[in-house]
Amino acid sequence: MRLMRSVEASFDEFVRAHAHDLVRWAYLITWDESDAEDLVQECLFVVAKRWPRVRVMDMPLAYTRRVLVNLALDSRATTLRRRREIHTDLEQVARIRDATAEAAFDTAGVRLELSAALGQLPRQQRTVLGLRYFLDLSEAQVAEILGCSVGTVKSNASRGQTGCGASSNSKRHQLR
Amino acid sequence: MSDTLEQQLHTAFAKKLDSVAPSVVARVCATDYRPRQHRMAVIPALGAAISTVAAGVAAAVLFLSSGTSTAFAGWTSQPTAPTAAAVRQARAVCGAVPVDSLLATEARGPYVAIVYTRNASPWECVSHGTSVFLNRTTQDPPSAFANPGVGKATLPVISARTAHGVALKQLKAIQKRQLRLFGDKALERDDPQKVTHLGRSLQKQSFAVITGPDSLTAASGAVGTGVRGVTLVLADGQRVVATVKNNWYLAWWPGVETHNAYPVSIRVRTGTGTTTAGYSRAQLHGLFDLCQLNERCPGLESNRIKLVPGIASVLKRDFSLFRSTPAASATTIRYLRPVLWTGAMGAAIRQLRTVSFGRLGTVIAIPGTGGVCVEIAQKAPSGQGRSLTGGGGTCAPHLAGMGRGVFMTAYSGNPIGAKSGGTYSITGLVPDGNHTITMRLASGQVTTAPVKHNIVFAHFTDQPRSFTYKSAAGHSISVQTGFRASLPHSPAREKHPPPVIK
Repeated sequence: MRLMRSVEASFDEFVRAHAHDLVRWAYLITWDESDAEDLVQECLFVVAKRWPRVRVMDMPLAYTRRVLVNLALDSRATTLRRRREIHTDLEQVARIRDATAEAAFDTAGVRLELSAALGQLPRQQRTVLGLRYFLDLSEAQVAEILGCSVGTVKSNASRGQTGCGASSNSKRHQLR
Repeated sequence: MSDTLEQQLHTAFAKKLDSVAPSVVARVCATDYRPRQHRMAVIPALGAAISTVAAGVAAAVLFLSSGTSTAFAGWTSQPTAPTAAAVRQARAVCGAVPVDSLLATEARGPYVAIVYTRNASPWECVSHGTSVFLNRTTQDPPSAFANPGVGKATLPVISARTAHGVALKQLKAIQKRQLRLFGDKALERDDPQKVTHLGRSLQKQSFAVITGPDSLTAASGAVGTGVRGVTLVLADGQRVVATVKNNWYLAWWPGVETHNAYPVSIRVRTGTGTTTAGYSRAQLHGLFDLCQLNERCPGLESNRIKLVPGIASVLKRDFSLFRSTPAASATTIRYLRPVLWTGAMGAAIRQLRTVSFGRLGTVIAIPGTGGVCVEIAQKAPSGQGRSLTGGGGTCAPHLAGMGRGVFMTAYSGNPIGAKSGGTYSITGLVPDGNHTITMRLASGQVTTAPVKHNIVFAHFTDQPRSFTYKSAAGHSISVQTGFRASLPHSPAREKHPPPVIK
């Protein structure tokens, strides 16, 4: 019983210590705060079940990050259909009603910044860019985390860079 | 890549990640991730059951097999005042922000329940430490719970079956005030309907059921200024004393109907005396799955739910589709039963209408006592053993949906990394007077989607980012879709890739 409590306590401690880090990782992948929260919670549910094994690993955090990335990318690979409900509460509807069609459409004309361009990228490309250029990981390290080849990392990084740069560039052209 | 762009990327990531709200991390930390060991054996059974049979039946199998509720050790039928620290923690884990005012708080053993208002709607939350068992709103503003006067009480009763993990998504959805009735593993039922009880004192009931191993039932509502006490008597004879404060009462207890933990009567004590009234089975139907107790429930099957007259007339006024003859074929009903939990929104399956869109499929509109649902059905490939296959669906409560319609957007396509994209679709029920709805796509293109018998069902190869239509009152409504940058970017852009920066 005491051992169980100690195991649970160590997991709680792990969550407290690394929640912020994991949320940032998830945010980097999903580019959406709500999705990031969902992803981290799903990840921690998985890790919690395996915690007695995970806690004795050399790097539980690295393992958890790997689970997180796998969950994010696997779910995208297997979920062929994605459904998004529209907010239906009255406040939302009222807010929407207040906005004229023109005002709503004008948002499409807002200048795309680099962060917006990153948000447009496929999740895998954005993840690679984040791991490479934000966390400064090597291509080999990124490949290990993502469970793919270095070549795949390179091609994703290249496409991501192209997408980002070109997206910003094309928008600049539009705004001239 | 140039150093400048590399630096810009680093800055862009840093800026984005710095914007993560601290509350997200707080909620992540506050969640209880520990698996429930004593329940683990039945959780897979629940998942399997839900995938094959109607959710209500699955829940019955689960709870009947688990006997009486063993959760919520230490719960007491008599509430006590929680400590300030316990209330603070409850507010935090329930997501009640400082500006949310508390209507009532109570403790039952180690469990703390609070009723708070957010965006003018009452929310009810039952928690223990960092675990949240129930957190929902009826979506009705307080004005819907008008003070019924001296000696009167209103009683919205909530039945919830929750489980950490299993119901997490549903709880989160509820917290975000989204209506999501077709979740992955858990199911939530929300069926507000007016019930006359204790004369005029019980004006409204609001039902919600979330499947899962832990189960509880909660009751709360506005009471008149003269009410000093409320006690509920359950079918098992247990008396649950409610907390009465700020013209609000609150009570909850472990278990649901399969534990005989459903209320059979309510006692309201005022300065002048006590009034007791029993619930009729009809009043409890929809809230409790009494038909699952191996009893005959003639007239109570969900496909015989009668529409509340007022709602039916409004639907018929605003949607010509509902002025047509219902077309509930046996095939459609057979298809809907597993995919659409008929208790949700009090869906009246026999009142459904279908609109065919040829090879795209058929859109089914199902009115109910609490809201309207739209469901897509497609012809199943041969050899599947059924004629229709699912395409998804969504519902909107009447409060928000009436006169404004119901919409669902979806993406169907290839997994991440695929070079070509899939299809984006919008499905919806729009009021009379709309022959088309105007769509703005991600590319900036403006296009229209035709409306057929109040139903729009259109597919695009580019993301529809917003659409505009008219409400029943003739107001222009512009809605931004759920499509965001996290979905694969549009194939239209891939066809014409922008130039590479060198």
